[in-house]
Amino acid sequence: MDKRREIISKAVADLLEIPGDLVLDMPRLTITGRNELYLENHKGIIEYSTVRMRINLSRGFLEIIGDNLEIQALMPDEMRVLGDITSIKYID
Amino acid sequence: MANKFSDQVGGFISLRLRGNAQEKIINMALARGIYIWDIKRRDDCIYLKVRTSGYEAFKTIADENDFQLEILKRDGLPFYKKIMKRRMGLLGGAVIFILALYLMSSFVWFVQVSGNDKVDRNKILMTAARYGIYAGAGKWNFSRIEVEEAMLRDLSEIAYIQCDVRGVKVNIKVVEKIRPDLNITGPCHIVAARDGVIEEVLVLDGQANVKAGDVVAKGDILISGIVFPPVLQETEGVVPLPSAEPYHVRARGKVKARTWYEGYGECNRKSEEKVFTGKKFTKLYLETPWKKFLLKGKSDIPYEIYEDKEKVWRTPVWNWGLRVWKINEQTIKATEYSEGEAVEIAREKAQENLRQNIQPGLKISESHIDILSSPSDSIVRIKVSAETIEDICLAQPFEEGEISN
Repeated sequence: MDKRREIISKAVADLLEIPGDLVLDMPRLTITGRNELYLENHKGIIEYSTVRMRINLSRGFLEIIGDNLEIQALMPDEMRVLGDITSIKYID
Repeated sequence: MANKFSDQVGGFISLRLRGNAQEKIINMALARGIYIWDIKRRDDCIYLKVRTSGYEAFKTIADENDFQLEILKRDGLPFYKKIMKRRMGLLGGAVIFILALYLMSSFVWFVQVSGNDKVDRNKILMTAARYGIYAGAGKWNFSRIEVEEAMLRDLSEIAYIQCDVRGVKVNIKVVEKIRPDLNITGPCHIVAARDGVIEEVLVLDGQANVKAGDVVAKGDILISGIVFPPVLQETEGVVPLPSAEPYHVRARGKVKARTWYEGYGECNRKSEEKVFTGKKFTKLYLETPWKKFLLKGKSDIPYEIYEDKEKVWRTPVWNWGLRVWKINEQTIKATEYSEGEAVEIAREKAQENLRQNIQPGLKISESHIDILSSPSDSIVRIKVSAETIEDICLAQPFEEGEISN
């Protein structure tokens, strides 16, 4: 996605007050406590181990550090991660 | 998101994946739309679950990329179906059980009657049976409301009826009509309820026919409801009352009389009595409409004198029955009473007999015992007579036009 198109999309989304995850394919995270993470609009898994997980996003990727990480459900654009999560970091 | 229920319906397979960079195969499965879940890493293996429908595609990907794939467990409904096929008997039994339960519960097995006091229970049951409610009747054969209406029509003594069908039990609740008391409003006499000798007369209304000391028989008029006005002496200056006609009243009053009651009792001085020896034995039969089977006990009875009790249970529908026949052995025991003992027993019997005749609560003023039999008789006969003072009033209405005295 080129920069210009992204800027236009963002402007339209702002103008019409549409949530960004619908228009811009941005990730949407729902974290319940520290044990459950629900992620929409992901682009696949880059790395998976019990202590570290990296998930590809439309721009950059998400790093989850924790213990006993497991993927409870995995579908083309949504996933649910369980485990003792200690940090979540966006990396470009 | 797919839920656990649909996983169960479709069936799923637990897998173990071995190889390098397993993330790659997960992403490839994701790209092909294969739904995988419960992804766990243990050491260098990845454990995951995949639906039966997606397994072939997943296996192809794994084989193409040199991964070792191992099936750990098959789960879900298609898997249980195989188990169920092996246990067809259990499943069939469950179905038969449910069907039997349903069939059995669509019959009436018990009928109960409540609320009846004067009306005979059997009469209510017979009427209910005529309209379709009896033990063994199919529930589809009668309509509750129709039966209630028909029974109400047939049983005139009943004011309200409710047939409560509770499962296999029908509870017939009835409310009886309460007839108004026979209240005498018209003129009446007071007549004697028993024979006796008058002790005391108290007239509240009417004209006394008897006085103390008179002997009356049952039905005699004690206080007349027909009153003859006293004949006035014609005195000077006073005109006699024009109405010298007798008039009718509802006689009221109290008449106490001395009455007698008798009780009789007897006792045989030599008596033979059957007593149980304590030996008993039971026969159990299964009765079918065709044949009677002896289930327990000997076919012939080993006792000379015995008392037997039979109890029969029957199924309401197919006339099968279970008959229990209890047989208790007896022997004859002769007892002889002395004269004194025999008199005592006869006297007690006579007094018991007397007590049944007398209204409870009545005070006995005098009682007398007579021995009717001679001392040589084998049977001692005793008569007990008692004297009481009681109210013998009984209201008896009479027709307006009738003049009787």
